[in-house]
Amino acid sequence: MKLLHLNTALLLLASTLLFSCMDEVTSTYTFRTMMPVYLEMKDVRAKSLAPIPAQEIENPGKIYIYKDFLLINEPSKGIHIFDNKNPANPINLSFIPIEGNVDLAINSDILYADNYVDLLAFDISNIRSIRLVNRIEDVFTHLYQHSTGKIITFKDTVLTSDSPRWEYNDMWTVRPGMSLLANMAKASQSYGTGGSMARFTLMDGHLFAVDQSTLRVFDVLSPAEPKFIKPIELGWGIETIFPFNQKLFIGSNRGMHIYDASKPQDPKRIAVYEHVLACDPVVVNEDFAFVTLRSGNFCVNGVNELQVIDIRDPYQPKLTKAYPMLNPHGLGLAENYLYVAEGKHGLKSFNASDVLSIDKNQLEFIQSMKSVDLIPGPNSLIVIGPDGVCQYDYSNPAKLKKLSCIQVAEPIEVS
Amino acid sequence: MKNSIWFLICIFSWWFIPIATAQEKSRITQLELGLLGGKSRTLWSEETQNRLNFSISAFHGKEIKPNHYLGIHLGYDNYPDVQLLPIGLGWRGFLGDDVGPKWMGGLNAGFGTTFLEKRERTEWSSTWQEGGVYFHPFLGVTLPAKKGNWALTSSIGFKWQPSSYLEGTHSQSGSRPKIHPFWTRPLLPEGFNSLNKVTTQFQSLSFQVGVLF
Repeated sequence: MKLLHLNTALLLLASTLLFSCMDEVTSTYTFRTMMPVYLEMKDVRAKSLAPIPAQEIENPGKIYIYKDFLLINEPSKGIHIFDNKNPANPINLSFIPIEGNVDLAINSDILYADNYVDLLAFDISNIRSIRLVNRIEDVFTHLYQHSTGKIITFKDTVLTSDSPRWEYNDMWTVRPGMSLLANMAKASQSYGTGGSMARFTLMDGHLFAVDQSTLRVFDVLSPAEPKFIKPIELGWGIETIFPFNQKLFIGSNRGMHIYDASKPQDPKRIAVYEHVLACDPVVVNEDFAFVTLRSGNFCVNGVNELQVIDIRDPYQPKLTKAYPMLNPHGLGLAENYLYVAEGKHGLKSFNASDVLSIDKNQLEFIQSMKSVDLIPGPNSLIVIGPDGVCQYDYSNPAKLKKLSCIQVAEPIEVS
Repeated sequence: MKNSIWFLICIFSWWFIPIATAQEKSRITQLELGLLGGKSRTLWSEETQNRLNFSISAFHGKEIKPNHYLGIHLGYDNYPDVQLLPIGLGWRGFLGDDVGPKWMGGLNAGFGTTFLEKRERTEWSSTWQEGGVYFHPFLGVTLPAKKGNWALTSSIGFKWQPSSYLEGTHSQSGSRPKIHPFWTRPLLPEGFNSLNKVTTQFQSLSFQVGVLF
């Protein structure tokens, strides 16, 4: 009897012990996000803007060609300057550290660049001795957070929390793809003279700058002394600006705005060509505007096409024809040849002299060259891809010949 | 399942090692079947459930000094939702007379691998399992057979063994970002927008019986 009790007690003890150990369950959630960063402009303005020795490109943004120089923006960090006399061997000369810089344009040896809310003017007549000559304060005011008077900007950050929410230390963050600045940076991954995704452009002694909703006009007739004239509200979703024949073609994610800039100090809207929600850089010739619509980020309609719009009557733009594409980003027009950056799918060239049969006149499709934007420059076709900035000899548009590639440290992601 | 069977065959093939080595006394092999008992719970709930899991292990060691053996340990642990294959080092120590029952102490430690678990990929995400460093001290007895050079063993111990379930959402739909092993993986690997890792530290009381020869 005692033995039975002992056995029962041992069994109870064993079963109690057996299930006494509790598993521990923990969770970590690591995500990429845009963390808000608050800055005082007085601190930003106190920083040196003197050029420093050449830096490796981490993530290329806007590109600008000027004389024999190639300028590459590092979004929010500054501008790399390359000697591009020989496109087969661009030489990295120096870097201008400009916080909050996204756009640039050059007018008569004066480089304009944004520095968060300010517009800066640099004298680059001597490329080895670049100096700041002017600062126009508080013009890009959309970056101010009015409740604090500080600038709000966002920094791409990887965070780890213990829950899968967009919250960190009692502060809500922004999913990278949904951030306005991320979209701005994405849309502005390449700009420049002839660039289809530019947000700064020059025409008739005036600098035009667009943000998500506003066109800002600057008088730069005296290049070193830019004067802010006025802002013009455009509506939400503005992405790119392209100047042609005293007109401004402004791409938004809902359509293309055409502004008459014959009086550049006071551009007037003359038409809006509307399309489905899509990201849409624009290039233009005398008769037609070429617009690429693509899905991605806010542009979630699934449309990927090239639209040719008849602008012979700029007051009544009409769709001439649309061509299906894979995922077109930026595009460039050189004479009758059209070049389209097809994102991760590659780079295409077309003979666009007959706008009704562009698809039948595809000249080349380089699938190995992933690309987000391009600029047909005087000496080379400059293409920005996830792996770097590459230059092509495009004297034969049917047989593009790679000349060089500037590698980047942090290749951009192409959707 | 096919992989599991092959692994079990692998473990039990150790049975023949002592035969092949002419039953050298300086080497021992221990094969064990066991149960791992504990309480499991999910991440967002306080509710618990008793769990009782099946375990197999094999040890082959060499005498490093009298009554102390150091060697390799292999195993198979069938936890809820994950099968782990522990691979590591083991130690066995014995206390007692040359004849009759002996006290046995042991320790297995190493890494619980997840070779048997498949990676799953969809257009939007990838999921996979990862193991971790395990630690298993135990105490028991050996009961020598009346005939032959072998003994029955029985032991009770504590097994601490982590396992993680990871789900990464792709930056681009349709992509197949590389899944790095944890020792080379950055905080957020390239090609992923987010990575959710749920780690379960299995803490179990182990009860094992086996043979030693």
